[in-house]
Amino acid sequence: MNKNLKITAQLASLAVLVAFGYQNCAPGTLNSKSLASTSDSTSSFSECADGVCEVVDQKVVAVSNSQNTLTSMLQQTGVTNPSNRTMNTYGTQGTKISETGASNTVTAPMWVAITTVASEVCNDLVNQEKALPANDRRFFTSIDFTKGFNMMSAQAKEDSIRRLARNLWARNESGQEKILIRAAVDEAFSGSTAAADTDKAAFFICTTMLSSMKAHAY
Amino acid sequence: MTTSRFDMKGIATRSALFAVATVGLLTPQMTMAQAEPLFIVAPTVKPEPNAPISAQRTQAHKLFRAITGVSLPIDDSRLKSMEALIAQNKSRDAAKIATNDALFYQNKVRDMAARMANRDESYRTPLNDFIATFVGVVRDSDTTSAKELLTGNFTYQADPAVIAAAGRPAIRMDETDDLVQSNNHYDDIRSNNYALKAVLKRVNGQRVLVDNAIANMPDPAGLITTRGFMQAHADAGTNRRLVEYSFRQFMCAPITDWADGTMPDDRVGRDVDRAPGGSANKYLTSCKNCHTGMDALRGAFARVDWINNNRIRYTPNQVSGKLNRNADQYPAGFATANDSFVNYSNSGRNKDAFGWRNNLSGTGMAAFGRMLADSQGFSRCMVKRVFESVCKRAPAEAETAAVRAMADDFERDNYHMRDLFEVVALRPECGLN
Repeated sequence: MNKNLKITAQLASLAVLVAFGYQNCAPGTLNSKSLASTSDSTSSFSECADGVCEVVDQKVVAVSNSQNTLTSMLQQTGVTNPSNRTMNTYGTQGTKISETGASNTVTAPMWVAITTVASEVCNDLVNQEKALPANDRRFFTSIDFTKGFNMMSAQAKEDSIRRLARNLWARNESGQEKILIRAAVDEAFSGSTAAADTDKAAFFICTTMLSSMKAHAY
Repeated sequence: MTTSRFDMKGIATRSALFAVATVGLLTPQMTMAQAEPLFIVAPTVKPEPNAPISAQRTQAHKLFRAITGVSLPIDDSRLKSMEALIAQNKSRDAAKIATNDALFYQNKVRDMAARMANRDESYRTPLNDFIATFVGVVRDSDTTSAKELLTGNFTYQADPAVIAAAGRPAIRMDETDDLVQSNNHYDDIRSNNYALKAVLKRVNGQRVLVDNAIANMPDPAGLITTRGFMQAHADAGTNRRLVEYSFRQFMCAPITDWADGTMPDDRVGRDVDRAPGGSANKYLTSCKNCHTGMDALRGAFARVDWINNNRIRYTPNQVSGKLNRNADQYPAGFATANDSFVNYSNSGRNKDAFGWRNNLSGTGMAAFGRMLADSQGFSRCMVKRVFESVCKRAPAEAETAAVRAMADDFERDNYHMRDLFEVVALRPECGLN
């Protein structure tokens, strides 16, 4: 779990770097670049290569503020009964999350806090889903939690990524995002045969996506 | 003293987030057709992995998020409804889905009010009567003009019938212990995580300590005379802060914006040294700029004070001693003898910025509140605040004309706050299209 959280935190930090690096922008305004599959592009201007398009636009960017972060996470994941641990974590981490949500208030400690809260929400989500028959689940429909990670097919991972993207990011994932997440989870759990690592892999995917900038920026 | 602590007690209770079936439950603010859930619970939206995402659906998501502050899954039924309306060029109706959602009041409106509620201008201000009343007025915009935020004689409190009908334990509501002398009532609303849209009820008649007994506030001025605002700005000092922050919060004008030393200083108090550090020039070029306007208006608050660190006291026949303290600084200065006020901030830039309409003098807080509410400055300020809340930036200088046009429309729309959120969200300047 510690290794997973470390990797997740690194990925989250990477997401922030990608979003804000080399932008040279005034506070609150961003030359944003989102990676989108061609079918998801809604901008009139895009640069495409190898089937992956960069959609370039310029808009005001803000993030969820400390008051709204947990509300958004619960709405996005549909966790109906957040655990006491989740609530307590939010209680202690919330002060590190931007009060205003202004883009120039985003800091690394803030994103670590968001990742920490996201990990608890995802823990609740995985537990919620595991308790349901596969057909009744919303995100991990193709994952057999009784089997080891090595039995988790690529299709199962990609299906979960797609489902989580639609709820957490309000769009489909791009090809590049899918590759990135799959590579990360494969690296984290490569060679594992333990059923417990299947839980962790689901948790890992969820946390990576829920703690990403896209889940909180607008 | 005001407090500004991150308030997490309200969401520490897991059970507070369970949905309570309230089908058929009616409160005075509900229609026959629709009962409002007492709690906000996240719906379990099942993603549709193979369904296309239209541009209208993406637009709906942006619009909902901008108005409520919350991101929904792209397959949420609310977004689908908004999508269909946007496809029919009914974007305004789509925006109404967002402003009708409990999340709008719980997050966006609450945040906007919290920033106006105390000196720190913090979103983390705990729920109090100021915030609850602001949320209530926005919710009830169909019947309540935003001008009543400065002129009304009411507050919003939890409706005990709504709570009882949901099978929840009663919250603290003793007038003396929990409403006049403490924030207990609102602390309980917050700690139980009740949906503000569902639980709030308008209660007419603000109640304060009049002399030494709790009675109706004789001089109500909407949010200005709420316990929350008074606690923030009538505590200690000389009641000048009430003037400063009334302008700052309701006219969007920090004192530095409207300081004007060209006006008469006949109402500057005796506690203001006319030669600070031995320099009369310092008074004339610096101190006078702010005190001219501020002191002339301060009289409106002559009869009110925040006492015992927990309550408002109004003394109908007596000027509060704080207004005349340190009279030895300049004995020839103005002595406050009643609650009269004069508005000297009515020339040059201030005249254009504030757009005063009615009498520029009067007596008492109600008249002061009315003067602000009737001004163009108030409507422009509400536009600016909503713009910043929804569009996540302050209007640029180049957008002044657009702001003023929106303010004029807001006034013609009878100061309908909820409509204002919808209108602003759909403006091209907001960048959500």
